Amino acid sequence: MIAARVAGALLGMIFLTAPAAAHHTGVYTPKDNAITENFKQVKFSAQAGKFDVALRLYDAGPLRAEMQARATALPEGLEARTRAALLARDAAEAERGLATFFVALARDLALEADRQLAAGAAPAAVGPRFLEAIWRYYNLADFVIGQRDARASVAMRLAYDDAETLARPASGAPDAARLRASFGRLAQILANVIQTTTPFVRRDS
Amino acid sequence: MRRVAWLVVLAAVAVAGGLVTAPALSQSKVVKIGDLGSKVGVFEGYGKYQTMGMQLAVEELNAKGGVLGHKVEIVSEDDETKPAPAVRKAEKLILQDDVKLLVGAVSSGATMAVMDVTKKHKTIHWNSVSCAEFMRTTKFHKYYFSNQPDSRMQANGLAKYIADKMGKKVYIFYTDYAMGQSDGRQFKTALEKVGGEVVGVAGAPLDTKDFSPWFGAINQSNPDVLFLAFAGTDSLRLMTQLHSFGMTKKYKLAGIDCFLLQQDLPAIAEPMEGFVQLNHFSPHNPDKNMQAYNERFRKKFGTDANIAAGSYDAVMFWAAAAEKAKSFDSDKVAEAHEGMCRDNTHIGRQCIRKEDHQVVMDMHLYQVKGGKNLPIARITGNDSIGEPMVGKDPVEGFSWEIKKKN
Repeated sequence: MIAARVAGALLGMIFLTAPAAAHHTGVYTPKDNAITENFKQVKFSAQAGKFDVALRLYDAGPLRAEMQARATALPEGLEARTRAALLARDAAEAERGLATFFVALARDLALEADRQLAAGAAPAAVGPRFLEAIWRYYNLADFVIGQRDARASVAMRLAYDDAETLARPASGAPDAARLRASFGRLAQILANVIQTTTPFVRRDS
Repeated sequence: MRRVAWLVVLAAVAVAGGLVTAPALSQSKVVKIGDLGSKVGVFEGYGKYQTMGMQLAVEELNAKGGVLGHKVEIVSEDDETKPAPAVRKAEKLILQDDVKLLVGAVSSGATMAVMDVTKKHKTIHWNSVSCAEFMRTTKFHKYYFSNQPDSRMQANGLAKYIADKMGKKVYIFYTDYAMGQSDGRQFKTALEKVGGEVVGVAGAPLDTKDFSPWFGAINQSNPDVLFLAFAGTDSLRLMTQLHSFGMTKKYKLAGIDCFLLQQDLPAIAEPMEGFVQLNHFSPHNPDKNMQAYNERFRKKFGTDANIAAGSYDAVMFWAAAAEKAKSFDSDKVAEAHEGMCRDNTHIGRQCIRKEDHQVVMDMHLYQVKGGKNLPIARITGNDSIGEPMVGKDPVEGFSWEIKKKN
């Protein structure tokens, strides 16, 4: 009996990392894609002081290619300055550059979700899919953001938590108007994060 | 194509090599130790600092000749804060990298899953961050050690202080899933043991966004103290709502150290003003041991240390035990750990209790003032550790029933 209770409790503790509870504690981590995987390789190499490896992984990987492809939507010079930081063996500065990139990716996803909802896409499909994608990128930037602006980090996590609730209501379909407003709030917070935390010259867009 | 293959090899080397510290010695013999935890994401604040604590220890050890004449190297792995990857990475560290010590993980779910791996492969395993109550009770094995105060230790230390100094009547408000239930019941058990009275208990279901429906019941029971067992965004939301209802000023507030991520405190400083927590490290503590540790940490990394400071001591304990055992053999090293004490750690003296391998150490109670955790009392290790309960359910016979006092 005791063993069964303890086993149940253990399962409960482990369940903490499943999505239902995990968002509340910030533990939830979506699966990597090629960009986030490349980011982790670069980050861990730089943290290990292996900047030559980090630079090669960065130069040849999908992370840099994506930064270059999206250059017009990013703070001006972001990619070049991130690369320069790796060359200068400045892991913290390189991480800041990459965090800014991920925040920009997350912002663009929030804007795209809003656009699709406005065009009449089903909120039950759009909401969870875009939120998963937003968290995949933002999760990787949160620690760096929080170190520079704790309020922005907290505001983002609370807004994300709200959006999650709206996207997966206990009953019925998600309310499209409220979900749109929620994505709009996420986009605004992320845009502010880029404005206030990036040391780079900003591009008006 | 050859270029791609070459890059794949480089990537594998980078990941397998992990965060290997720069060589400080010219020794040819190397012993590897594993560092497992949340290296990216919201919990990076703990996983990254665990790595840094280990790096500081390894640098100091290697500067003095390493361990048993071996240069120590760290292999770091990211467990994605999930049990399944944590198990995979732990097996990789043990079977592929041949680490003689594994430190980690950060989340209790991942740590408990890794305990099965370290037990199976007889690997010395130190936990310096996770605080579930089961690791030194039902999940315990002979290769496992911890210098992180678990929820029972925190509840014991907090309950005594609350009953003595803050008020005997306490309302327990918890988040109604495993973590909140665990913390709530540990605290209720501890408070009733020291003569405090639980005047009310409520569990808010997961996904609660509006906590105000519970505020009426809290006010009606008229507690001196509100004990809160929540985590993550729930804590942030709850504190904001309590503050807007004037309840952060009306009641004294307390909780365990998992209540709020340390890095979030400046963002929610006003609602948290006066909140009491028990913990073992704060860079704002004037204690000479903590300041000495923090100074070394700052010198190396340019930033303050945090509660992952225990990872430094974990490596130092393991190194001392290996030297004592004159071997890296895990059975011999495990036995050498038992009863071992170290002075001048970040919290002063730490001793490993033989029965459950939990470190006995003093802890400090902190109160939030101006967004910083400032010390208000010291709790001796023996007052908080509780009796050894290896193999037993730590809350056997527990009931949420309220025992009214006149």
